[in-house]
Amino acid sequence: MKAGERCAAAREDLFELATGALSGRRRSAVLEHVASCPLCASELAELTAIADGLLSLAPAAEPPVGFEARVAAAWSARAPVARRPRRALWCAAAAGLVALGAIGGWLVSSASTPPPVRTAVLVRANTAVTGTAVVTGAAPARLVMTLSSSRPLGEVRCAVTTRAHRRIVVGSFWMDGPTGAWSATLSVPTDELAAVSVLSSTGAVVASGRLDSAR
Amino acid sequence: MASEPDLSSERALDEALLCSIALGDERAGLAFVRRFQSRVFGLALLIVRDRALAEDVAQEALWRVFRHADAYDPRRGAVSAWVLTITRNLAIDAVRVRRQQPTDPHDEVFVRLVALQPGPDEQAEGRQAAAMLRAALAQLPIAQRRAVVRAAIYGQSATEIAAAEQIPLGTAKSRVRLAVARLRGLVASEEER
Ligand SMILES: [Zn+2]
Repeated sequence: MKAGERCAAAREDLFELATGALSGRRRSAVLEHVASCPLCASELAELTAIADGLLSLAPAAEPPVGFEARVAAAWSARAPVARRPRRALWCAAAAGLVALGAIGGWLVSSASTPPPVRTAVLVRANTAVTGTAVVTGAAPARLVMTLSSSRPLGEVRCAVTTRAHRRIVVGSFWMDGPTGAWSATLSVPTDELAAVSVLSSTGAVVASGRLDSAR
Repeated sequence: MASEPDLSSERALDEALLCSIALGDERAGLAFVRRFQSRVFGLALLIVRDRALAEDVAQEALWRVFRHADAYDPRRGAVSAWVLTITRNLAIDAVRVRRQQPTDPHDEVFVRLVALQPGPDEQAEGRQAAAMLRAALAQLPIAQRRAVVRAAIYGQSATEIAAAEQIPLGTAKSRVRLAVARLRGLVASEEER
């Protein structure tokens, strides 16, 4: 088969490869061709984007009550194997992406030393507010946080506490739904930070958590 | 210090969370569940059409994400796409095991996918693309729309589409091909505006 014919044959099946419908020998043959043909590989990337996009159109639906608790219970029952922290190479890239705040920047950043990553779990006893804060990069550090709350919180302030017990409000944002995501650039170096907290407009602590050590 | 809300970093946030999971942070796992559960359950329900089975599928899908967080490859697509792909594959398998035959979507599914307004969490960056695609899908002839939705959401091959729609294989292939070509064209022309 000539190169052009191989491409034509592969293109016939590329969308089925993107949707997972292709199997068996045909699938291996197409995968093999794509691995050695940049044109078909870029075609596959575009078709995958279309297929992924269509998948995201599926209407969201709230799972049955107690779903989250059952997930947590199932996880802790199964966790001994999975809980083991693993080195995730792609993480350095993701951390770079957050730190640079630019898609496309991560390829560059992954070539250099991976930035430190620190995470804090944001919780508060007796309230249904939880979240995660991830601090990445050194100078400037970038903070990314997500919050979930069973009730709308309105305006909340995000603060970091330094190792010297100084609390610095880094900004405020609106939580008008059950979940919120927010990020900011910090002027405090990552290694001087101790904790992250979320405050209500009156200054009460809504959720907080200590940052783990740098990885 | 910067203080403006930065909701354009949805994708970065998903990656940051998944990164925390890969590093062994279980709480990040739960935050991730909260963030994705309605999308994962919604897709599973669309495919299996049984709430109990959809819950099993959603739970298993999230578990796999949690377990394989370190294997996620950002070059191959967004975290949300990865999660939904895992969900779709598990849902299709679940239906095949249980009913011994490929699922067949209701007609209303094809209509609903384009008629639905974007949900409350569909504001940010990644979701604008969804709105664009939804609009593009609405412009397709219904036969092409059915074919491409069967392929992308139900994972049906051209052979399965031909059987389900009772059309020749060649027709099924060309409907999918035309639909994909038009979606690409429509999305590209929207982006140029
Ligand atoms: Zn080729």
